[in-house]
Amino acid sequence: MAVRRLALLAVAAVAAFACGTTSAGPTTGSTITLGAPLGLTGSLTKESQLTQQGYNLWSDWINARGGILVNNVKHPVVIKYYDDTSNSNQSAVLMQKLITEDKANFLLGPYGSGATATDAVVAETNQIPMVEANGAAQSIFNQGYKYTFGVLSPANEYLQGVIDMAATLTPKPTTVAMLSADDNFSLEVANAINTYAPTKGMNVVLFKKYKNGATNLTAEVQAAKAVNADIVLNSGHLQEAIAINKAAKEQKLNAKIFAYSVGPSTPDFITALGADANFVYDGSQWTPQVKYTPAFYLSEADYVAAYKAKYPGLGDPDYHVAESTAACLALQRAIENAGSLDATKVRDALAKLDVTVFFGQIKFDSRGINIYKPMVVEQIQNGVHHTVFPATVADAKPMYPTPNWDQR
Amino acid sequence: MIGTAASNRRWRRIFLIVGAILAAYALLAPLTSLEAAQSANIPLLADKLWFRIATIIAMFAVMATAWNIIGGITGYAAFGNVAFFGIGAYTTGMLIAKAKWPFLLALPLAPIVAAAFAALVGLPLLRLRGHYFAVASLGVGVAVGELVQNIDYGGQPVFGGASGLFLPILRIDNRGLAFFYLMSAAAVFSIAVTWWVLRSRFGYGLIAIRENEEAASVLGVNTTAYKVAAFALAAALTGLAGGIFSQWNVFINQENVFPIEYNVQMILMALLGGTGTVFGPAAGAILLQLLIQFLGGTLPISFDLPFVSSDARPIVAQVILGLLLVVVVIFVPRGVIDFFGGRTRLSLSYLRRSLRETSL
Amino acid sequence: MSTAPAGPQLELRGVTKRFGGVAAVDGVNFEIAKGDIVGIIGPNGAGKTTLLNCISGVYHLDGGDIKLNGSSIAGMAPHRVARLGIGRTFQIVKPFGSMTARENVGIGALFGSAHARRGVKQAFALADEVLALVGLKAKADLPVSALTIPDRKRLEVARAVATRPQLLLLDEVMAGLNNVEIDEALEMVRSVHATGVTVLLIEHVMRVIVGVCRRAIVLDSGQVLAQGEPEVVLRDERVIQAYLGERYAKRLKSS
Ligand SMILES: Nc1ncnc2c1ncn2[C@@H]1O[C@H](COP(=O)(O)OP(=O)(O)OP(=O)(O)O)[C@@H](O)[C@H]1O
Ligand SMILES: [Mg+2]
Repeated sequence: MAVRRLALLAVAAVAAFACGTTSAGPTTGSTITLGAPLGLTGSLTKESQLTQQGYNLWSDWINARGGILVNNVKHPVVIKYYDDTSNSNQSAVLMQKLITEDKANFLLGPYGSGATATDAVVAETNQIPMVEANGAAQSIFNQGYKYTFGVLSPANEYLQGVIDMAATLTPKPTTVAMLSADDNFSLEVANAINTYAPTKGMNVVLFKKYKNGATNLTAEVQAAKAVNADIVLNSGHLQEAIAINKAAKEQKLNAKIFAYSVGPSTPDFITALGADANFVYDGSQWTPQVKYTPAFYLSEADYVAAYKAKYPGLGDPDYHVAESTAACLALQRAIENAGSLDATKVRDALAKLDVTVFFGQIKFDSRGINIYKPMVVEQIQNGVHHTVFPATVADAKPMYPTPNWDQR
Repeated sequence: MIGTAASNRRWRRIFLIVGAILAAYALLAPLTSLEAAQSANIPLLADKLWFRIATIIAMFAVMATAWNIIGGITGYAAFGNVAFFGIGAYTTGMLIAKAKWPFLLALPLAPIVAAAFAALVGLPLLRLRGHYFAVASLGVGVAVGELVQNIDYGGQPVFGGASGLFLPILRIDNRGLAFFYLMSAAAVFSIAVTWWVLRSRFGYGLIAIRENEEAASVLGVNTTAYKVAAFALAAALTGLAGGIFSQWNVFINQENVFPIEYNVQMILMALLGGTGTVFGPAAGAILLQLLIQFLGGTLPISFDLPFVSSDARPIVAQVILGLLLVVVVIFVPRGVIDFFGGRTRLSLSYLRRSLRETSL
Repeated sequence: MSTAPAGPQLELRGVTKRFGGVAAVDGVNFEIAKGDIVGIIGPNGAGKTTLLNCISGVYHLDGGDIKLNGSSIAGMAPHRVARLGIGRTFQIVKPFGSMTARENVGIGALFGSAHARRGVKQAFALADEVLALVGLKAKADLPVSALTIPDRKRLEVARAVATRPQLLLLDEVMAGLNNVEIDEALEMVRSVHATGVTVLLIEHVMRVIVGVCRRAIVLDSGQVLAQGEPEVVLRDERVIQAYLGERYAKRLKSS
């Protein structure tokens, strides 16, 4: 009988689908609906959850205040989420569902560059603004789209902060060894150093690509040792950063600065390396220690406290959380500035936005990406993360130069 | 049509009529979204969400129908057809994004390049039989996606690399509607091609190969040429869908045009609807894709599954799809078209016959 | 078509086929004249089927040459051999299972030799003629699964005949049939031969060899043991010892 029931089910699905396309979403007059497809299951679950936390922190806060103030009327906010199972094709369908069925006024970005790229097209063709915080690939912003805005610093800036910092130190380092995984994001980060370092009087004496996900990076470390560079940079991921640091100790690769694009900011890095994690630098979109002067919303300290209150037991908010909250703040301020819920007017307001919040300055260039907020540089000092650059937001000075392995 | 003896014509007719009505509705309902229809106060029957889902359904109808030509009619279970989808997408994508060709000029190249590639790899691959061919074709499917992402020239990725490829957005009125009709036209075209194949000398040769390749060859069928031609034809149609997808989706990368799961989905659709038939794979594509979209929560009629928390829903969806595959292969080996064709009722004897057909 | 005036239609010179180290067919020579009807006999495993596979292009030769109307067909793909006009059946029948009898024969008619039909309609018309010839007219629309064993053998022959061959190779099409069925099958072979087709048939049933063949070739261990008129060959001492056995010899004498 299983077959018949199955068959009936299938027919019912077709029939129901054919008849029932008009059950509209719950748009009330004064509620602003925001929509976000997120990979709440699948390969991007972790980061997507952090993104959702960042969005929710803000929606709790704004609704506690009665909503977004537009022309003396407060509009409460609802964020509608769908699980795109970490699949970008699915993300695009859900974006359309949010727009068509849930009548989302504005869109918040998904997690990841692939989904962000696909969804940017949906936002563009539907002419609904999307503010995103989790797709840093510049290619998204080189398409001339008018409806996609990214609050985070673009990929090319990830390690430029380290170079900027190095230029202020004495003795000034002059040579750079650049190692990079071969995925697009990592290469975008690394290629930027290739052109940026010389402008700060530093020579890239080694540029070496390795296979994304490689676990044995001894050969790369030996190559770096052979050139005896002052700065060893890696653009990759957590596991590769750990592998390089381990190999550096084994091979006695000594440098004045070890800096890795991604990895050191996560607790796993210190857990895996213990004391060997000390002195390592990384570039970060945001750290809980930065000090900006926010025009509205919370200070860094209050933000960290609010996060810990809502999500106890998770430690400090990750930068994914902060940048996601920042996306909401950008949207909020643009709606207020526009004095309207009209999609086009809010888009224009986003384009003109210039505001500083706990996350830093949010201002979009003509492509819609935030090139005005600097990346910050973190250093692990005695097992603790400290923000060491730029000096205006730092909570500690860089411990420089990094001592040789046999003197630690 | 070959292989189907006289059957209950009444059921067949009812099935065709119902199918035609549903197809007409699906194709005409979107027209109510046109501005002219709106200003004439014709109620909206299908919106942009529906165009998007329907375009995906049509896309799978093309892929399942195309797979049927090599897998169903010729009997070579190709597990890597997504390679042709991706090749089609990247062909059109590259021509538009890098060479600045107009879409309608770039689109015909998608099936041509996909077919040429299929002919090239088909010559060695199609010497393999049974599961050897299935595994080897799967390997090709995976390898092509990796190659497209990783080929560098002078340190620069040739095909956009990991960051993928952006095409300019085709800025036309009713864009979603246009692509829905374009993809539907591709589906109708694929079905028409299948219809022609099954009535042609070519098709008879392919079926003979499926039924007994050695007998076919001594009867004068150039089996190598026929198999390669069938593979290339399937690739051309799949590549066409890929070409349309690239301009529709605007952004393409390895993840969205070489998804491994499409390989299984298109086969499952053809099996579900009925391999070797004209309409079966398309019918299977509609049923299965609606189920996938339903489980994925994109349909307007979405409701919570009993006993399933929303976290577990995607996993449950995978399990349901997997079980469906098993059920279809074991109990409905000739597909729903045959099942509703009326020749067979669900009975013990049907079950027994099904089990016999699926066991070696 | 053929311009070879006087030479044999089919000519085998030193044809050899090995499996591993073993020669299943070992330096076989013989000729078949146009319009002839020749039987091949030999014990199980003598290499008869292998020889047929060599002629029809299913196997590549390990040595020797095969000529059709004076030009070599060695190394040709099976479909090209079929195109030149050699049709064959399989000892273990290989019908197209999902098709009806008519469709099976239609495939032969649609492809086959250069004389076969190219349009689907004409091919099915030819298929109907051939089905009538082999006595399957009434069962034309039945699926293969509904056919009896003798009918499947007929179908095998019909499919080969529908290719319109100049030379027809039959591999034990009468094995497993009863006496009445064999008589019918003999009649069928005779009527095909009567249309001008050269026939080379493998049989274990002596009645068939003696009944229709003008010549017999005896194969043993891949080699030609004897060839000539069936009555003469069947009395050959070596043939009797290698294959037929004493009992058969007695029966033959007494008949
Ligand atoms: N494909 C093959 N691979 C290996 N050995 C084979 C193959 N085909 C045949 N042989 C061997 O070659 C020899 C000849 O086999 P063949 O089938 O030609 O004999 P036959 O004369 O047709 O016998 P039968 O009267 O039983 O049909 C046998 O020893 C057989 O085992
Ligand atoms: Mg034999």
